[in-house]
Amino acid sequence: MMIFILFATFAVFLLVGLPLAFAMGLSAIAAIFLGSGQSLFIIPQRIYGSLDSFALLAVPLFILAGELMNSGGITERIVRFSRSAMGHFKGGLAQANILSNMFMAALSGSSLADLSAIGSMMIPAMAREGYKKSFAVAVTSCAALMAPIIPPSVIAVIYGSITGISIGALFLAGAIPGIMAGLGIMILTRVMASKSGAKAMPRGSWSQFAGTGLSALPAMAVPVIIVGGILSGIFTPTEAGAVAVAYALVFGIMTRKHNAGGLYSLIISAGVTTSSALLTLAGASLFSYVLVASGFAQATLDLLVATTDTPWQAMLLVFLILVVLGMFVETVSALILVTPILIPIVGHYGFNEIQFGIFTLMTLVMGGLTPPVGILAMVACRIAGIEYGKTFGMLTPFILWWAVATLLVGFVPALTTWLPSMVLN
Amino acid sequence: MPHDKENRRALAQSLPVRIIRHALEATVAAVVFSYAMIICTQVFYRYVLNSSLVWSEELVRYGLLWGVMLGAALASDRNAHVALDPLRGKVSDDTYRIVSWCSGILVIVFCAVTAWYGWQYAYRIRLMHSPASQISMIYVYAAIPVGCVLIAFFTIVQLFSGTYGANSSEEELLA
Repeated sequence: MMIFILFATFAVFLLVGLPLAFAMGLSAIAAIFLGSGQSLFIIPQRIYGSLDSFALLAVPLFILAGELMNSGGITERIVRFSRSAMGHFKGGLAQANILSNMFMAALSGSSLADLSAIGSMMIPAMAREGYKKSFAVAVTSCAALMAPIIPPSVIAVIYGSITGISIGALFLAGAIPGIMAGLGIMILTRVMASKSGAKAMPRGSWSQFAGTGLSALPAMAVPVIIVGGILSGIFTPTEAGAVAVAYALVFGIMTRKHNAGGLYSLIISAGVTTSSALLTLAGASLFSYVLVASGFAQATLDLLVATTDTPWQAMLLVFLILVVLGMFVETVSALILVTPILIPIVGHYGFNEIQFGIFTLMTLVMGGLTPPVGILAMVACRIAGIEYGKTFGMLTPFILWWAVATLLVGFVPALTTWLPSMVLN
Repeated sequence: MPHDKENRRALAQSLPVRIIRHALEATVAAVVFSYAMIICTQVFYRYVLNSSLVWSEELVRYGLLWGVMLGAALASDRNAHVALDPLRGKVSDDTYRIVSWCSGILVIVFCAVTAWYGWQYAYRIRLMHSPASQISMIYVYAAIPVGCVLIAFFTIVQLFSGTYGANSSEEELLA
């Protein structure tokens, strides 16, 4: 009964356009109130419980650090350096785009921030050089998927804080899969280059290469601070976020790119972005409480176990279900929704929890590209000024590659477990 | 009609609403900035002064709850909540107006229920104090009713200004 009320009201709420946070919260309230008669004091308890976490503070900090680095001109330096490193290859501008995204992924933790920062520079540049706009959109939005996989990662913080898995280990585990996915995007881009209007740009001089490299150097210090600091145990991921904010702030002040008014609105906007993500987390924690209390999570596991006993088939099934979910629900909400259902599955089939975590994240972020609501692709289309529907053809090979990379992560444990085991033991 | 529309827009920009908005913005900015400052201070104390702060971690955790609840109210003001909004552009303008009123009223219902139980709960545990900094838990839990009242306030302003959900599509929000 509870579960029926939950899903029925949730569907209606989504249909009238209720924001996800409220839709999940209110349908959970309806289910608890009508279905179980339990005290509604569970509402403040769950909201408080889901937000009372030191680890989660890394979310606003990494978002703020990302915005500060952007406005401080770090993105610009990275893009210039990537162009001088890769520009002379065939399809070089596209390759430089991917390389910039890879660097930015190591500085910031969310796709959208990277996409709007790099995309607004690279997509128009690619269009001017004669690339097809749909190709520019596909390359940029797929490359932006690396951001939440290569550390730091906002969704890894959220996943770690729900499951209790070490966030440091999740950060490390994402490094190799993220870089592997990026190299794959580069190869795919090279293969598709001739069909997409790509040209090589003249090779710059060595001194130009060295100059742009030198100016990008302060940016390269950030991953060293963040990842190095966490690995050596100097600070926790949250503290790394705070130090990254301080670094970006000082850097921006020294390069005279920051001013008081700009900083003020930037901090507010980081606060608003964080709130809309974490309020969704609070709403989802009410929703998932009902999923678990009503026995739905257990029933799902039973159903899966009845369907297959083999771990690899279960993994494949989870993949397919998450891909479909990711197509319709935004990544953070989807992640919070499925995690309570997935945890017993990890235990039952004896999956490695870190490997399974990265696998889950990689599967869900794919929803940023897939129709009907591929947010990343839609934002990239708006920068490019073309219709979302016209990019599907170009997007398909990139989506397929990302799916292959995700399955590799799911089936080859070494990709995710090797680095954490090397460093953390 | 155009005159009427202008009048209604004016509500969102009227003086009392603007004062509340600016106060809220300043508070959110201060809270978010203090996360970074307090945590950096914590690191500084540990490595440079070799002593640990006992209150810092607890304080920023409570700050996160306040920051999220107040920031969510600003997100309502800016239509920045993530929503799917599948009916936009698919139904006539009149129907859509009814749909978005339904959506807005449901947000207010959520806020009312949550604020009520949030306040009741906060009041019940007023005698409990936090372990490290000995703050009464009522000041921590109060974030939930206060945030909900503000979310409901801005939702009502949006509904009457006719701007509710104006750019709440994910695409707009995230750019």
